[in-house]
Amino acid sequence: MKLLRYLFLFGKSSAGTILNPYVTYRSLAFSSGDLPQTVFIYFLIFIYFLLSSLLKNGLANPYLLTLRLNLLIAAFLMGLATVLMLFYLGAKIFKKEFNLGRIFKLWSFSFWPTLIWFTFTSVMSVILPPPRSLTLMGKTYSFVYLTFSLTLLFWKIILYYLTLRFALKFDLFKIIFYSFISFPVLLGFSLLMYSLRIFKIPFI
Amino acid sequence: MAKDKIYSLMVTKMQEVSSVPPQSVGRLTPFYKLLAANFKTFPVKNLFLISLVLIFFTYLLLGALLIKLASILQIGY
Repeated sequence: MKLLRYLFLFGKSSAGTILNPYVTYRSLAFSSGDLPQTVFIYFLIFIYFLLSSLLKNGLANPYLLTLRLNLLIAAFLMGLATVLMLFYLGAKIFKKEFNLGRIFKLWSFSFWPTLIWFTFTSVMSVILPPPRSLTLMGKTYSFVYLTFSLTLLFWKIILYYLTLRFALKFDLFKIIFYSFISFPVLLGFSLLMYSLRIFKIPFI
Repeated sequence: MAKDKIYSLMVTKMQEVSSVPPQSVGRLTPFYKLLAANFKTFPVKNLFLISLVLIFFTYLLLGALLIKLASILQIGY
């Protein structure tokens, strides 16, 4: 029954993240005792990593498949730990209260745009493998794909802003200042993942 | 009893609403509030329109390079 309750809460919060992110994030930051609902987003992320490993390695070599899956999970957890540490650093710099549960809950729901983009890109790379041509069809698809990608990126930025606003109670200037500190670190992390051939685009 | 429950729900809601102070950007606060209002409810709709315009103008600027970017992003997963 508890699982059903958390699943219902997860569905409601996820729908709110799309339809009414401001009110949803404010409500999530203010509520307590509903952290377990985030387990479903991590389950979906695990399913995506499994799909991605299957698409890249196939079923022929189970060892490589397992290795790839474990690398993706480890890199994702490293990225998550990096982001949470950056939030902690931000809270210390601006002398704000750091509530790990609240920050974890809000940041978890900000994985929706990331998950949607990666899943869509993975599936479409099988249905319509790159490279794109300069024909009308190629240009049209590129246009649609880039618009979709940019929309998700802007949505992710909004959820990042709302996480800082409601979890750490930053104002706009603090968020901008904090971003100048955190983005170079995340860029470094992304380059590390790229050089290790784990993520070409970081799963943050 | 029902009145008490409604009252306590209202108090909780008001506490939630006032959990963060209103955003202030100095003299730009009215413009910020006008802009932010468009992204509070179903922001994906306005974000899609903005993205569409940006990509269109980027295509006019970059041309075929934008198609190459799409190909690069497609192998980014």
